[in-house]
Amino acid sequence: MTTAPHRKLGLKDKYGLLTRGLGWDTSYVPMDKVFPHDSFEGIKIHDWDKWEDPFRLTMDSYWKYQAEKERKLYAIIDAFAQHNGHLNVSDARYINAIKLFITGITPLEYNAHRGFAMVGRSMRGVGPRIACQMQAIDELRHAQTQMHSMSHYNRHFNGMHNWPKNFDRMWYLSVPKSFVNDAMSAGPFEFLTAISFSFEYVLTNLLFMPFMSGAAYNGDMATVTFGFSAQSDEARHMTLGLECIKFMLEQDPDNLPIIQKWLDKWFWRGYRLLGLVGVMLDYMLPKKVMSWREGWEQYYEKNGGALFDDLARYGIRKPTHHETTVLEKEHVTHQLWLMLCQYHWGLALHTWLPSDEEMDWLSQQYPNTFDKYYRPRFEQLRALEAEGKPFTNASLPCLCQTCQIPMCFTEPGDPTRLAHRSSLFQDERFIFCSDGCKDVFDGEPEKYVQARLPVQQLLQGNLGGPELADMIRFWGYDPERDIGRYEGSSDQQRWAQAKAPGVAAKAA
Amino acid sequence: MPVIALEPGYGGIVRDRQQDFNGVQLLFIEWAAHPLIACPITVPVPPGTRFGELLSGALTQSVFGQQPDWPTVDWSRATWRMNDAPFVPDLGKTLAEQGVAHKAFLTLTT
Repeated sequence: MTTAPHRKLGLKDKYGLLTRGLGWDTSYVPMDKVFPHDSFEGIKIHDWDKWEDPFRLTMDSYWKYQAEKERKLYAIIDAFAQHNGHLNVSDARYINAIKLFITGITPLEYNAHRGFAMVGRSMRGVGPRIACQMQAIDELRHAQTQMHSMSHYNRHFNGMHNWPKNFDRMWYLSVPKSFVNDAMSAGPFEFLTAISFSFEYVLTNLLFMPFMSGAAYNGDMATVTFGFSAQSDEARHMTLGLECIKFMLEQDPDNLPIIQKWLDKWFWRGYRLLGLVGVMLDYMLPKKVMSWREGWEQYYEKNGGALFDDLARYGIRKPTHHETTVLEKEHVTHQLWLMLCQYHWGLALHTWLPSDEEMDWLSQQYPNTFDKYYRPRFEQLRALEAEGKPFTNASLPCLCQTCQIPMCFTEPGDPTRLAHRSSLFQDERFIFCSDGCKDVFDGEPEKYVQARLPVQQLLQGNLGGPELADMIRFWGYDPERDIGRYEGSSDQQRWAQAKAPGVAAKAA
Repeated sequence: MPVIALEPGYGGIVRDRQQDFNGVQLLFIEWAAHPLIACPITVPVPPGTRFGELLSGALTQSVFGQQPDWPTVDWSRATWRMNDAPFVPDLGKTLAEQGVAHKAFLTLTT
C-alpha cells in the first residue's frame, strides 16, 4: 500500500482551516440561543466571514513566536535579579512608577484577559472568536510577565506585595477598576470598541511609551524588557482594534450611531484614566522623558487626528469633548499631583513637591500655565513644608460618579474655577467632574448609579474600621511602611543606605 | 437613552442613598477661589443640623477651617450656590428645613 505524502499546508490554508474550517452552525439549538450576546447591543452582522485578521496568525506560529519572546525575557529578568538591577534605577522615587503599574495597570491586563475570553465565547463568527482567544492569552501573558519582572522590586521596596487586593479596595485604584468593570459588563461589541479600539488603538501609545521610555531613561531594564516583549503583541492588538471597528461599520449602516456613542464614551473614559500616567510622566519620574502635553500632542492630536480623518469616510467623527482634552493638556497633571500630594495620608504612592530644577522643566514644558497657576501653589506648599507644617487635606474629597477621581479639574477655558456637573436620576443627585463624565452617566444611568465610590463606602462604615490605620489595612497595605510622603519613608531610607559610600563597593 | 442590556428591565441599586448612611446625609462643598484645596469636600452631617452649626462645626473642623482666612470670613457677605442656583441659607434653620438635601452640591464664595 502506498500513501501519497501529505501536502504541506501554507499559512493561509492553515489560518483558513482554523478560523473557518473549525466552525459549525448548531442544528438542534438555535444559534441565537447559543450566542445571545452578539445581538442585544443592536450591532447587525450579516456576514461573519467578512472578518479578516490581517496577521492570519495560526496556533503553531503563535506558540513559536511567544515562546521565543519568553525565553529572551526570562533570561534578562534572571540577570536583572542576580545583579541587583534595582540599584541601577535613577532614584527610589522612580519606584512610584512601578507601584502605579503593578497595582493599577497589571490588573487591567488580567481583566482584559478575562474580558477577551468572554467576548470570544460570545461571538458566533469564528474569525473574531479566534482573534479574541489569542488576545486573551496575550493579556494573560502580559499580566504574568509584568508580575515576574516587577517581583524583584517587591523584595526591596514597599507597597507592591498585595496588589490584587489593592486593586479591589484601594480608593484611587477604583479609577482603573471601574474602567475595566464598565467594559467587561458591557456587551461584546462594546468591549471590543472600548478595549481593542479606543484603548489599544487610540490611546495605548500614551500608556506604553511613557512607561517604557520612562523605564529606559531611569535605568529600569526589567520594565523595558517586558515592554519590548509585549510590544509586538500590542501591534497585533491595535490591528485587531481597527479591523473590528471597520468590520462593524462595513456590515450595516445602522451600526454607525452605536459605535460613535461608544467611541465618545471610551475615548473620554480612557483619557481620564491616562491622567494618572500623565502624573507619572510629569511628576514621578526622576529623569523626565516627555511631558504629558508633548505626549498628548504627539499621540492623540497628531496620530489620533490622522486616524479619525481616515475613519471619516465611514461617517465616524472625532469623539465628543476631544477639544476639552486639548484645552486641558497644560493643566490636568498639575491639578492631579497637587491633589495627590495633599491626600498623602491615604496614598500607597509616595508624594513629594517638585524641586527647583523640576519646576524649571515644568515651566519649559508648560509655558502657558505652569508659572502662572501652579508654580505659586507649589512654592507655597514648599514654604509650609520648610516650616515643618506640610499641607495635609484631611477632609474627604468629592468624587466623580463616573471616573471616580476626586473633582480636582477646572472648567475648560477657566483654570481658576473648579468644574462640576450633576444629574438627577430617580430623585438621586450624582456629581461629575466634567461634561464627558456626565455624558457617560446620562447615557446609561442604571449602570453608573451602582458605583461603589470609596468615599461613600468609607462613610457607610464599609472600609474596615474607625481608624485610618484600619482602613489602610483593609486596603491591603501596611500603615507603617506603605503610605505617605516620600520624605522619611522607608523606601527613601533603604535607598540612602544602599547608595551610601562603601555599600555599593561591597555589593560589587 | 435607555440602558443597553441583555435582560429587559435591567436596573441597579444606588449605593449611596441617604438611608445607607446611618442617620447622616452627605454634602459636597466647594470654597471658591481657594486653589490650595484641590477639590470639593464630602461632609457627612445629620439633616437636623442648623446651617450655622455646619459652619461652626463640621466646616470649621474641615480643611476649610485650617485656612488662615477662615476665621475672618464675613458671613453676612458670603454668598452660596446650591446645585448651581443661587441660595441664601438661613443660619438658624436646619438643612432639612431649607431643602439642603442629601448629596447637595454647595459652593461658598467669600
